[in-house]
Amino acid sequence: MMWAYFVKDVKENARWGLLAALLLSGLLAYLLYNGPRTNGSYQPLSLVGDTYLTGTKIGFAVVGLGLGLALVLSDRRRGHWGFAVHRPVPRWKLFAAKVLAGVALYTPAALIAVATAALLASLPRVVKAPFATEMLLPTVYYALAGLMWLSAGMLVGLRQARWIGSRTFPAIGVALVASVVDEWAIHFYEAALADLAVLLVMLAAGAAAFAHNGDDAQQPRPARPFKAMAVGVGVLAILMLLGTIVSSIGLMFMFVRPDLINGNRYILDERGRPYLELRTTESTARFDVKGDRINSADDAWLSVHAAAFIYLSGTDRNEQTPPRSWRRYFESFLRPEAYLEIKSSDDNDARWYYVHAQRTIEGHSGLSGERIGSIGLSGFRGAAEPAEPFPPDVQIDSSYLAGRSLLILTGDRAVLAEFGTRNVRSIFTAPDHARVLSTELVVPAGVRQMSNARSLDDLGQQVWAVAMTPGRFHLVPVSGTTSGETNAEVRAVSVPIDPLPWDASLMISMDRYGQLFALTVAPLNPTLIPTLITLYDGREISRISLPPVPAVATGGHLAELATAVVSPPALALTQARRDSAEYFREVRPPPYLWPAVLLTTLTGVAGVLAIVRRAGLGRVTAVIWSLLTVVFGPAAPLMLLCLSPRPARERCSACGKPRPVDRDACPHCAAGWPTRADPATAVFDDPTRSAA
Amino acid sequence: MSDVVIETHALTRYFGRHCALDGVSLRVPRGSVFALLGRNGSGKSTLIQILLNLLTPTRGTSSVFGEDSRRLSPATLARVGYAPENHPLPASLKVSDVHAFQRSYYRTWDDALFATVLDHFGLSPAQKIGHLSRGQRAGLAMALVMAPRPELLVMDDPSLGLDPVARRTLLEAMLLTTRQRGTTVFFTSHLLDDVERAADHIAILDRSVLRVSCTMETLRSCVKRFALSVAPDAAAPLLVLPGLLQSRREGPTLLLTIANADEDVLRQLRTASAGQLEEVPLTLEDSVVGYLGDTKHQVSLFDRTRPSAEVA
Repeated sequence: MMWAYFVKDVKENARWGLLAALLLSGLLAYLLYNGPRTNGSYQPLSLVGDTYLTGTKIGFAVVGLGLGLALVLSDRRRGHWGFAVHRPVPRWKLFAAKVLAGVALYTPAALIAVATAALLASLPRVVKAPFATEMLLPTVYYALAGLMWLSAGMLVGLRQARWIGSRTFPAIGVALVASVVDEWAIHFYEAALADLAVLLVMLAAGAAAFAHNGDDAQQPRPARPFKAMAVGVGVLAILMLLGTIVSSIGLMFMFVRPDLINGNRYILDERGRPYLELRTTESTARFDVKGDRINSADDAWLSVHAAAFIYLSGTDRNEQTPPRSWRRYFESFLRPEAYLEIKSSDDNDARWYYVHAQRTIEGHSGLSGERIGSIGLSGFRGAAEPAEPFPPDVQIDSSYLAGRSLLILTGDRAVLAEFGTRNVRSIFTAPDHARVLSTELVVPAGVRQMSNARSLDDLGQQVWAVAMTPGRFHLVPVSGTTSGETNAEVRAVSVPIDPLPWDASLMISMDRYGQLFALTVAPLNPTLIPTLITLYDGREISRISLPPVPAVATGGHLAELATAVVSPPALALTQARRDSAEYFREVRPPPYLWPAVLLTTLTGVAGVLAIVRRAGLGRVTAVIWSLLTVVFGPAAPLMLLCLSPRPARERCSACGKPRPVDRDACPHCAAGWPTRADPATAVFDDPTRSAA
Repeated sequence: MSDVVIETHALTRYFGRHCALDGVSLRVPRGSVFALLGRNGSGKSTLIQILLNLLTPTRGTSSVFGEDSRRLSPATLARVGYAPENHPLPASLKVSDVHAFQRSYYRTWDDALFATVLDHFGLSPAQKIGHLSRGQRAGLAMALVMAPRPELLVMDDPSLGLDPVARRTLLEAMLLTTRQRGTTVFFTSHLLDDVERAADHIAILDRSVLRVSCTMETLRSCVKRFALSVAPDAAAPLLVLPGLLQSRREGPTLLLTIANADEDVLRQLRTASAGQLEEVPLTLEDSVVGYLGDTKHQVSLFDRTRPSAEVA
């Protein structure tokens, strides 16, 4: 019986499946070909290119959603629902058959599209970028995510709600989850598991909607949590969007406190003495370590001749497996990446790709797209030679100089691949064969665009590399000339930092002669205190712990208030902690934040109670949703409003008060409903009906 | 085995603020051909959909073969054939496809009957449903719903849009099935000739409210038309008639359609007509129109104090 339903649905919707296959294949092919056609010079589009991945993500989502809607809406048309579901089988079996039909239609379409993309990308001279099977992983993931969208489409089509109302909430919720997964899931399996969880929730909610004709109010108790999740995440997404908009408007235009401390840091004078600098909207104040304010007149001698502000990871990147999306590489310094595109500024305008699956760096001409060769530890190899793979423990660092070079770590070595000259050279070898955990190139502030780094212009184009090995920090000169003004050179320095913070920012301070004399280690974890290490002639002469920087608040009244009111308290707190970590400060919400959160929570609970009372729901429901309000804030009552039945009301003929039409007795006076048939003209055979 | 196949109690359904069905209580006896009448939008299709768990009621209960409509078991569903309004069938499929599809669900499927009905409507299995005429589609829908030999046949306006020949064919097929196997038929229609020919029970829904539910004989005996002779230049007599459904003046004669006319009503009529009172024959159409009203002689059914002179 399920088979018959499956066959019927497949036959009925085959045209949509065919359309999906054509659309997806066409889209992927277009995205792979788009670059060479739009510009005279070759664009580095590949299976891991940004445009391709964005288009793929949207394409599979739209097709999955559309197919899900098509599968259901054809049955939801007037009259067709009866033909579809009036069958001597449990409804869930019919729904299962429909889901399978959807999968049977979507899967071939997605497979054809993925195969088309793979074929185009793997054929030489078609897509002029390296190809490795692993590069298909993001495409495969987005294709699988289409099933999640398919289930969302089915639920959207099945639920009885207004299209301009809560009907589309499941799809909005899926969009939110997809964004979160895209942002946070590093491994393929993580993303796939998250999508599977969403898929199961959507299917459970969809099955309940199918079994009860899309009527939320009639669904049994076990199905309600799934429906609540499916719709609730959509509500949350909209609230977050609203909160972001309101906060942004507030931040942009109004209510920014003039006394708001929007930044703090330690700076060092030329003798290496630390001072705390607090910047407000209108002024900058400086304090010594005792907390005494330094007079502004003394500011003249408070300067740092050279400084760089960098992040270094104390985590071995080889312990992290490659992420799914290459964009992760640029989004976070703390994560490795599978693929990397670098545009070098040589005469070929070449693009260099790090192909994670093969551990090779390969170049393609920016003009013709042809492969021009590869770079390995032993140097450059021409197009005719196979690429030299890096050792398995290789780490490709995030630093690069305007597309000219790339830091590569392997074992105890850090090498620099310079694409412009097609050269590879060793820049650092750790003593005692210690493993290099991370490296970073320290470059002039203008290039790195670090707001709190002073210009390094007086040191000319000197470039350093800093490196972390277990328990030690290293700084080595890499390249460049010394400054004409100072005629100084940076000396190599090796400083023990134990225990090594996992993720820390380091402020490197130098004197006018390029002598590094202070190193401030500020752990990202705000509970750890900063350390100031003072050096002389490359040797450590003192090490002191600095007082924690004072708490500051960012944003303005309205922005924070909006966050407190619109977004859930938990989210507001998370945001506060994140900000805290970012600015190395303790959590200290503005004084009005907690009253605002409390007020909105109480208002939310009152709203929950009002909704529960109006909809005639029980005490347990009231308690559960009140607790949810405490956790999720105003999203919870809005969610409940969307989920709870809202029956029409009519004036009671007995007491005159409005009463919900779905209850037999008036909640005010317990009166029943009056009969509306006129007894004088009514003709009934049934004596009981006549009496009524 | 219960004698009642369908039973509803105070069945009510709202769509937003609109009340589509208001406190409907009715019983459909086993073996009856039960016609549900009413104007468009009066709630007929809503009632059927609630009965078959295609729609959930706002309040009230309904049962089919003694089972709550909201929890119809597969076994009960197998006993009920349903032909929705407008004969909705998947247009992209062939006749043979829907045959195979429908057949797989019913053990009692009668291939011979299916073929007979198809033949009756000139259908072939290879035809695509999207290419069928409205009559052929109705025929196919009828074949699909009758071939499982259901004990209860629920049809929502099965003859809608059919030409007279197709209508007659459909009606004959329906009657044949019913008479031969004692099937209960519950159907809606706007064609009162068909209803009069086929139905033995009738229910009338007027603006969501059930006003009649009885046998045809009961309706005929309860709803009557009287002709009163009044002088052409005389004002219509002032009458308060509780069961008045409709009144019409034809020259010196005032025609009144009255339900449940008791002795008090008759006495008033005799008095008003000065003895010139005559009961005239009434067709089913007249009775139904009396309940459903017409645009020219609308009768307010809830205003019992309304004087007939004003009505007239």
